[in-house]
Amino acid sequence: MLTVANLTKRFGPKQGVEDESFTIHEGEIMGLIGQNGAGKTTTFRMILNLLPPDSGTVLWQDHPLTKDDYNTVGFLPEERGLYTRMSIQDQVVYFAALRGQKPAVTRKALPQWMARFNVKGKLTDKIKDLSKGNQQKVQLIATLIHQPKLIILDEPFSGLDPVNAQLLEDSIIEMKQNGASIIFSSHDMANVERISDHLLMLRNGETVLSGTPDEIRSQFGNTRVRLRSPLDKAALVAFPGVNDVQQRGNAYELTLDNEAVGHDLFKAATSKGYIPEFSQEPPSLDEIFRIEVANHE
Amino acid sequence: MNKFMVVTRQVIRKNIKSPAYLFSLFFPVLIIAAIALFAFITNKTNQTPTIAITSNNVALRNALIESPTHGDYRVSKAISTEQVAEKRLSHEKIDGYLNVTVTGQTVSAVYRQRTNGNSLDSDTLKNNLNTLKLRQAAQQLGLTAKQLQQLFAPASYKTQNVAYQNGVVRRQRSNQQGANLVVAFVVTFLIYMFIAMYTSMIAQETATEKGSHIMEILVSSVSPVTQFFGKVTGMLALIVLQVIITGIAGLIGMQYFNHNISFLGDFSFSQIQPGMVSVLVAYFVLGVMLYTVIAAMLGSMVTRQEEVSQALSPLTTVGMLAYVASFIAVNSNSLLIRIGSYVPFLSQSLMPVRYAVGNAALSEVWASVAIAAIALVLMTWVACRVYQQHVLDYSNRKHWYQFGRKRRA
Ligand SMILES: Nc1ncnc2c1ncn2[C@@H]1O[C@H](COP(=O)(O)OP(=O)(O)O)[C@@H](O)[C@H]1O
Ligand SMILES: [Mg+2]
Repeated sequence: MLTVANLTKRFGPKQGVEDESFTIHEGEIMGLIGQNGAGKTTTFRMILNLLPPDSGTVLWQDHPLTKDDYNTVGFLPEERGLYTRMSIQDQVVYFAALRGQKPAVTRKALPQWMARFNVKGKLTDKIKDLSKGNQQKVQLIATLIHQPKLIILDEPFSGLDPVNAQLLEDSIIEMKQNGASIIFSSHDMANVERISDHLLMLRNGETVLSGTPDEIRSQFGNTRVRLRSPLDKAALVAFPGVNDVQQRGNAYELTLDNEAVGHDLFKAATSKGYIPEFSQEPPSLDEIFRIEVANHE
Repeated sequence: MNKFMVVTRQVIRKNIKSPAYLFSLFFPVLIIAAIALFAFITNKTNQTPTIAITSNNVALRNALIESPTHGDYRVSKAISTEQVAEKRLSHEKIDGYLNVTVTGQTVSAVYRQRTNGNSLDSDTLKNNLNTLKLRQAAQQLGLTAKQLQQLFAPASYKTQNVAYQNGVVRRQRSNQQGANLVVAFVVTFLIYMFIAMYTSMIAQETATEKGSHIMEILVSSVSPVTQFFGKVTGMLALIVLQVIITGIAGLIGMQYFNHNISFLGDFSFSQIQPGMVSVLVAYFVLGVMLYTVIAAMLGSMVTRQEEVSQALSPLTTVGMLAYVASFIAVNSNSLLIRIGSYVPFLSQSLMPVRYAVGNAALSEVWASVAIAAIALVLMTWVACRVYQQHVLDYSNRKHWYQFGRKRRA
């Protein structure tokens, strides 16, 4: 279990992170979201002791993280770095050895990992001869191959195509099932929404949202309706309590003043019987993200 | 396997696998091999000349043929007349012939040789001829063999070099001093080369790790202190390996050239004192390590790899100045040189030379070595602290090495 309490860091007049608190249990995934400069990387550095916080505490299994815990950590830094002149195998074996895993164990496990991430290249290929995407996959393997219990991934999905992003999602889920505590950052909602148990949104270092995806969304009320019915655009725009109407093909997406408007709308739309689509939901995380960003600009 | 060893082994493995490093490691071996090959080829093409000896005095001719040749020439005994000899020469069967004419008391000899033949080193032949002539004259004068020997025994001639220190004369055999000086020069040069090489190796490596942010992974895996000592120990192992390879190549090479090439004169390894050898080894390791440790520190202070050479330049300049000053130390024992030979970062170049020319006693040398050792411990401590503080510092804070440039800009 990772417990972060009241973590604060300033860089001169610049706000790094302000009074940040969260807990990640075993087998849980925490998604850290926020725009560039929100304080995600700073949070990770403080968790790992790479940067001393101004105040606040980080506890791993109820004690401060020390070098005895390093072997249980898997860390993918935001700026990727590998020894470009080393072979894939030497590179992964070295990083794993630094996390206390015997070279023989790493060498045995590596081919499976290469296959799982579909790395194009031989074990003896030099890192510098790999494509950027494959380099990134090698770095992911080096981060995970020693089966860490505390996994910190700084923007792991950036630069991955959807197929590879899916492979990474699967691996993260597998690590979670093995009982790891995982925290990752992203500015892309899609992955975050799919795999996170908890979400934390930072803006200029401040925590603006925190909770499970459902909790966060329900805070914003069931105010989004998607509708296919005999009602045309003019009728929808004129409908009391409807704020915004967007046409999506032959469906409409509406923003309501409040949840109750949905009931009236449903009645009106179904007055002549069957309609193919009516769904009322909270705003998507993607939308919430944009709302929160816009709120403070 | 503990992490210190993991880092150490990584440093060794990585460099051993690099072609550039391997080349530098075996460079002395290549040089020795190249020179040996060259000597072998030139020896082959310039073989011992075959000559004929003719004379109007049969006794003299026979005596000359029987005289020792010291391997300088081979005599084709069958050729006894000038005509035959000339003919053989024209057919290139022999490289030349000596015609000795005896008239009364005078002996005159003419050596005719082909310009395209193997050339004759005529000293032995001349000596033989002179000896025979003297013996002939002595016999005519009625001298005994013993009288003859006394007459021609050469005067004894020896050189003694003296060095005064605090008014006390110390004496070294001159060839011993020569041997020491040769070795001191070679080693001082090698130390300088090693310093240039290893400082750049470790600084580049550290700066690359920092610049590529590999450092974030390293620091979250291994404490910077362990990392620092692992790296430095790896470098030490490489340095020792290179000293051993260079030393063995040097020994074999010198022994070989001793027998085959005369440029070293009467240089001999038996003349190098064991004290000298341990001094040189101590300076080798201490001197190079001192620079390496500081270079690791400097490498951790830069934010980008391109800044490495700029950050290293003050260090390498000191190394070069010390090396240049070592030439001055051969002939000068000024106060500056004497002080310098105790100062860490300079002593590895100055003290071996001062000792070799007899300007410093062994006790002084060990005092200087001890100072260097203490300096190494202190510098390692300082460098380790700085390394710890800077490996993750990517802020564009101005470091001391940037001040000069910024002001000029
Ligand atoms: N070493 C540093 N020195 C000064 N400011 C920093 C440093 N690291 C981060 N910052 C600042 O702190 C803020 C948060 O940065 P960061 O944590 O990298 O954001 P994110 O990872 O969310 O994009 C930014 O304004 C950034 O400029
Ligand atoms: Mg970041």
